[in-house]
Amino acid sequence: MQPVIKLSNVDLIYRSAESLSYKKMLMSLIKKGSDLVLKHYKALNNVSVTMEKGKVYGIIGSNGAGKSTLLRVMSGVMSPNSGVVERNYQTINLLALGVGFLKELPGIDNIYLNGMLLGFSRKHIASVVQDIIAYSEIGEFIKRPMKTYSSGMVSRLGFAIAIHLKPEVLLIDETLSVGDAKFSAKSFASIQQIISDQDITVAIVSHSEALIQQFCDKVIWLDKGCIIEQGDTKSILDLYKQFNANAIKLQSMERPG
Amino acid sequence: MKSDNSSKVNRNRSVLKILWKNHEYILYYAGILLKQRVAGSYLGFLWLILQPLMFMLIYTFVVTMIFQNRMEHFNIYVLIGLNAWTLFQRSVMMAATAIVRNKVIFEQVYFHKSVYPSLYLASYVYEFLISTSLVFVMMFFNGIPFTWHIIEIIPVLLATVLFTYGCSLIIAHIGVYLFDLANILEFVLRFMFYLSPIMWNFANLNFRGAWVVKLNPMYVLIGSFRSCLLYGKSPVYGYLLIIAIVSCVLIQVGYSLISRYENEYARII
Repeated sequence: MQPVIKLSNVDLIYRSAESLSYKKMLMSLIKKGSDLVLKHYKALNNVSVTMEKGKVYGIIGSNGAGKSTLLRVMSGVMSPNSGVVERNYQTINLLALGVGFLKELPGIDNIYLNGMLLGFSRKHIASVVQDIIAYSEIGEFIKRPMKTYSSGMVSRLGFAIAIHLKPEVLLIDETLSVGDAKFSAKSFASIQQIISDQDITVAIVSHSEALIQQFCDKVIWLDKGCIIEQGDTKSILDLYKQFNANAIKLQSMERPG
Repeated sequence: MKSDNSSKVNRNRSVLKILWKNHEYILYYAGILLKQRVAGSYLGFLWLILQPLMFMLIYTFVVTMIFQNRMEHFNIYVLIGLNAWTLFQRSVMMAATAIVRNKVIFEQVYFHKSVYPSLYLASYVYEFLISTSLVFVMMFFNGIPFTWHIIEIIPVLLATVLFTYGCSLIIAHIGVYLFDLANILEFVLRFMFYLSPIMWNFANLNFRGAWVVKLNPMYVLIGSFRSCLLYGKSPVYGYLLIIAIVSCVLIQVGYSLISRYENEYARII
């Protein structure tokens, strides 16, 4: 079967904006030989991943390993400097709650705006808009400007939209708990339901090993932009745990006392 | 959001196809922007009529009272000029920051970056249509005959939109790299405002080489709007065609620039 997303030998380099200051540009013009010193940062290094339809992928690794960048390359908002990305899907959602909401406008307008942003037609959104409002438990506030919402209400609405407008590919960046304990349990159940849907391909970035163990079919372990290992959840998680335990041991040995 | 291969995404596509594919979102977002602009104010959508009306009154006062320059139907003359100018000036000004200000969106969802300036342009076209209805009201009160030439503002508006979009695309691209662009544009646009026949009439210019101002596309466009509405005449279609062709070249240049560099935007901003 054709993979939903396939990354082959992907490199991604960040260039920082400060490197484009006039001072440096002028200096490089005056001083011959001093080339523009650009700050490069290689966020992904020769990464190859194949994602199959309906599977759930977990992405693990320490901070700054390139996990979020990997999600962005998967979603297409970032293109690699080299390597090839193949995509075979119509709709994708990089789940970040409440992105693109306009605070001056009522929630109901923002539901449409957000849905269209994700590539759904106005007609389709209209068919689920009542469910979204009911699920988010916002009630009468839906007609009021979003600047009057509490932060919990904003993320609940964002989550309700993401749950009801089901994309073919769902990318989740550590945003599994939303709102109070009751809503959090509800959202967790919904995520579980979506993940078990055989038509939806999911990638989750998380630091929670328990969560990865529970949901994921495959695990990708990243460190400093490189893939260390990828494969079945259990075997990779065991390696990862062992590695972390060793690292902690090493650290405590280096520091006497 | 189908794309087969990221390195080939931008080929085999044209700016028209991209705009058409996203037209539902663009038009909806443009309406939302309009709503956002008046949100929270007591008078709400009335501002979209009041604003051009107030500016018309101010300019009419300044020119007829202070500069003692009397012209028949000057209020409509200046209103038509202002409407066209506002559409152009605001769209171009917003284009300078169109891509940067939507960072949160394009980190989440992929759109071709030439969509962003079109959002603002579309919302200012809505505003233009609303303020044009004010022109009709003023024409009624001034006793100016309504002729069939009024429908000829459609091709004039089309040429204006093409020209504005062409400028917007190029400026949107430069705006990503040059944060000072908005400041620079403010002067350039102010100068262009005075060079455009919004408050003055070409007949009143008596210095050598005054014809140079006619090279300004806004000169032709504003004049064409006035022909259709105020003077009951057809615009000069030859001039409009030249502007349309130049605009298409500008759009193509802007589109190629953005297509070529858009992958870099997210990594730089």
